[in-house]
Amino acid sequence: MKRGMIEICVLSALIEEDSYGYKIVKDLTDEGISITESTLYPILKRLEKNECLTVYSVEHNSRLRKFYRITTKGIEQIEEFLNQWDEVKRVYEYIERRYKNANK
Amino acid sequence: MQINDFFEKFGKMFGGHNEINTKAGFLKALSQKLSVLPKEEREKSLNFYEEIIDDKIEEGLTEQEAVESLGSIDEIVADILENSSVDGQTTAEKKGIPLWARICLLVVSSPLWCMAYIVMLIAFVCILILGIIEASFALMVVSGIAQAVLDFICKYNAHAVFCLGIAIMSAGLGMVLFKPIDLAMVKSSKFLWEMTVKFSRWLFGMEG
Repeated sequence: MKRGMIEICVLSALIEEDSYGYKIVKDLTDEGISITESTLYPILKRLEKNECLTVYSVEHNSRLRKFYRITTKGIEQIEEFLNQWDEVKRVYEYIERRYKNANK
Repeated sequence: MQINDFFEKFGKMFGGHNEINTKAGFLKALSQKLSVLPKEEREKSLNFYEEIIDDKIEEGLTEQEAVESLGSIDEIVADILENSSVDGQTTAEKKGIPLWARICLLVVSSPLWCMAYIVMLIAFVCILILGIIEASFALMVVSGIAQAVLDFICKYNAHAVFCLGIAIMSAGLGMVLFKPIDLAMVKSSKFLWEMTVKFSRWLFGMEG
């Protein structure tokens, strides 16, 4: 899958509630989206750098767990992707229509 | 058996294979492979993977399963390094000492650090000799018995008994000395190897 797309997937995993590394991987894998811990780590780092998410630590079972929270900028990224998708869908439908007409 | 053990130990010592089916082993190996990264960035990566392993264990995986499910450590390292802020700059350059000055310093001080490496090499050879002594006991046992069998067949009974005696004596000595030699070899070689790596990193500016 394209790198940009998996970034949007990670952001979407955070849209309803903050989440942590292991849970993000599990949630996405449960949805049939293949992602590993080693791909997730650089993505989280990049999203943090680009201010699409913020990080904070919570104590859990006497150890620290890092939680990720989506920012407004992150939500904008998701919206941008969805808008792009509308256009991609129009392009797809146009190609499909032309192709079917030609082969009638 | 002794010889096998000996080679296995030696392979481990010099091949640098760590036990990476435990959390501690995995994190240690990861830390070593990320030594080019600034300390803060390296620790961030380690914390991330430590948390994942802990979470997986909490979900019911065994420690080994949790570590193995992360996949190949080299791929993990490649993913981290590919996306890190390190762009071929060494920590030494960041500290403000220009490369040419470092090279000059290295050349000027070469008699000193060459000596240090020679001393470490000699120490390694000593450890190797210890191993050879232990292995030679095993060889003595095998060759002693072989010679005794041959002598019995050729009816040199006195010589056969003598060889058998030597074989038994070597077996005894080998067994008595196995534990202490084994311990000494493993401990001292591990220590020496770590010192060598630390010294080299310090010398060539791999670590701040």
